[in-house]
Amino acid sequence: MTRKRLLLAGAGLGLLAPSLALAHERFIRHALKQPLNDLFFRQQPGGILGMHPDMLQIGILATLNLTGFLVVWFMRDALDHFVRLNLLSRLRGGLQRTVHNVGAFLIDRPVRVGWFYSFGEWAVIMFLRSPALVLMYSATNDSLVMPSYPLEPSSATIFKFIQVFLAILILTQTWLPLAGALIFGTWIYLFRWGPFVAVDALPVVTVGFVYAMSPWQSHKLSITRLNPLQTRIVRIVLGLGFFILGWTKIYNHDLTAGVGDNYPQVMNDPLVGLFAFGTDPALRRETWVLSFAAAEIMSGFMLMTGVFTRLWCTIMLWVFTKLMLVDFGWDEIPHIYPIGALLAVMTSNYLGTEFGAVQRKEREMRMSSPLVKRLALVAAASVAIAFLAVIPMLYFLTFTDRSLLR
Amino acid sequence: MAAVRRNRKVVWTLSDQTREVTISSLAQVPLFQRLSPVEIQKLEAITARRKFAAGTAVFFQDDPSDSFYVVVAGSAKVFQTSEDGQDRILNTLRPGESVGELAMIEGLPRQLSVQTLEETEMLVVERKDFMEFARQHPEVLWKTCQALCERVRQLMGSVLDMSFRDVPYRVLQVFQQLTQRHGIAEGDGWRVRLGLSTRELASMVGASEDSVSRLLDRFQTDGLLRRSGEDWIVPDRRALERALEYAGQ
Repeated sequence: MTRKRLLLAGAGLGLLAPSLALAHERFIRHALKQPLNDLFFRQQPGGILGMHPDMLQIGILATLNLTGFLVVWFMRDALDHFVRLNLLSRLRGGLQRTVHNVGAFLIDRPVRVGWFYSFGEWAVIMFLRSPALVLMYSATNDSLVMPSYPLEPSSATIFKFIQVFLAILILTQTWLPLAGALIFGTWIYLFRWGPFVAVDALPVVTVGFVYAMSPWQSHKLSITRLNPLQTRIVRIVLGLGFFILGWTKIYNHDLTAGVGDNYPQVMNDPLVGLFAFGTDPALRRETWVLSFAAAEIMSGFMLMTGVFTRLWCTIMLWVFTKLMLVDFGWDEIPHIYPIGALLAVMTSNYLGTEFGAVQRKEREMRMSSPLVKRLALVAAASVAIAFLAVIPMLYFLTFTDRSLLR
Repeated sequence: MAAVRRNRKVVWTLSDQTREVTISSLAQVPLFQRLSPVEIQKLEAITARRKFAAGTAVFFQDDPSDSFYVVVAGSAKVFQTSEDGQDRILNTLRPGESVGELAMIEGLPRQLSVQTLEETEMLVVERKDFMEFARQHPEVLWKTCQALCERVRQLMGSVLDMSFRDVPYRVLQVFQQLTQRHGIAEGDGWRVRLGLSTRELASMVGASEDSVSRLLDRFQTDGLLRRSGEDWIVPDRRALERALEYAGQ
């Protein structure tokens, strides 16, 4: 970041510093209908790793699920080779090309189709401009950036105007680096209410990177594509946001269970159901919290590391759209922003992975080693990655004291 | 009948006659012209034959470069697809020509797609087998280097043509090359049986479909070209060459 941009980031921070987000509770209803069994989330005497058996089961299932996805991901070249030789070669013309493009979509290869490109351009426009809609919505609801952060009445007016000013910059794509600095400034300011508040708003920061990387003459340009670096940053930050949010859902389990108590329909999710399968029915809400969080941790991890990015973007798009249109209604309209971000990533043709080393090793071994040996390497790497992504943090959380949250 | 063993499984069974055809096809490939008959036979042992119906993609852009192909019979088009789905035909392949060897050596994803224009038979050599063969016969790598230089020269020529030649010249040049490479002499002239549409010709020329369509009408009126079903006929090759000379002035 240049010195000029750093100064602007500081200015943005200064401008927004006096605004007070008095409370950071979720905007949607989250009051618990009955207390949760807090001991379920704590160290259990005699249990493996000191965990409740159901907690351990959910952790292991999430690890195995993640392992499965990683194995398929690392072996995707071999699978692709098999599909090309045994399926694709039997087709011809447009049908062959369509099947090839579907395959390319699923394994994050470039999809070279006119409508997909146009859709991608539209998605980037939506991603870059939708924060303006969120800011306008917040301004009309006396809140800062998101409805979760209400403004203090004494200073609300001026910050509503600042938000509208920022929204106009974004809508007209004017001085985007300044818009980026203002977003970073706002996000850093949110740490004043603790890391959880800032983490909750982490997905919003993704667009700040793209704004900060844009030229000052942004209003003269039609920015309709993200370059490879921007795509990578957006993917990593967005995934990291969901990954950390997943862990905070376990840490702050009362809030998560409270949302489930008020909106019981969110408890029906196939992946969540899979993780909680066979657990104690008396601990349904507790295991749901854990499974729901595990699903978010897993999807966030895969998005962050670039494993089946498009597939996970599609699943998360479905989840967010459902939350907005079916489960929570208008209260969750700011979710239009992550939907834009996910669409921009999903339609990008510059998707990469953070596990390039394993992939390179597997490709090298294709020249000389048999399938079994390659599979063994991939399985070992996948188990290690999945284990490290899930179990240590789950174990660590059983020692945490949640009394501060109440 | 002889069974060719590769990767511990039988991948192809060839009659002696088919083996002869394979050996003779491999010997014609510029890449392998310096190899001795014994070495060509060794190469044949790691080669498979595959038939593709007309309009079948042999491989797509962005696929892993895990093999290379030699056309034995038929023809195929080599094209690139832009991100927004626009195809540009770069070349056409005829028997004896190979494709995919440079990307295969580089080991990076393919930059081109290849699709057959008619029923086509190809020889396929897998990357790991070829690399092992090249280790034993380094002269193949020299030939690959030569092929690379030839491609670079062709590309530079193509860039030059695109920059300095107008569209009529480029259209005529494409037809001259097509006639030379794929033309079949018949009573009424040279027939090009590739079923190339106006859109595909426009993508080969690097011009809009409308302008190429207008030029094709003009050249047909001038008697330089004739359409016969899906084929193109060049009634007089020398007249086409003269027209190309004038267009180039």
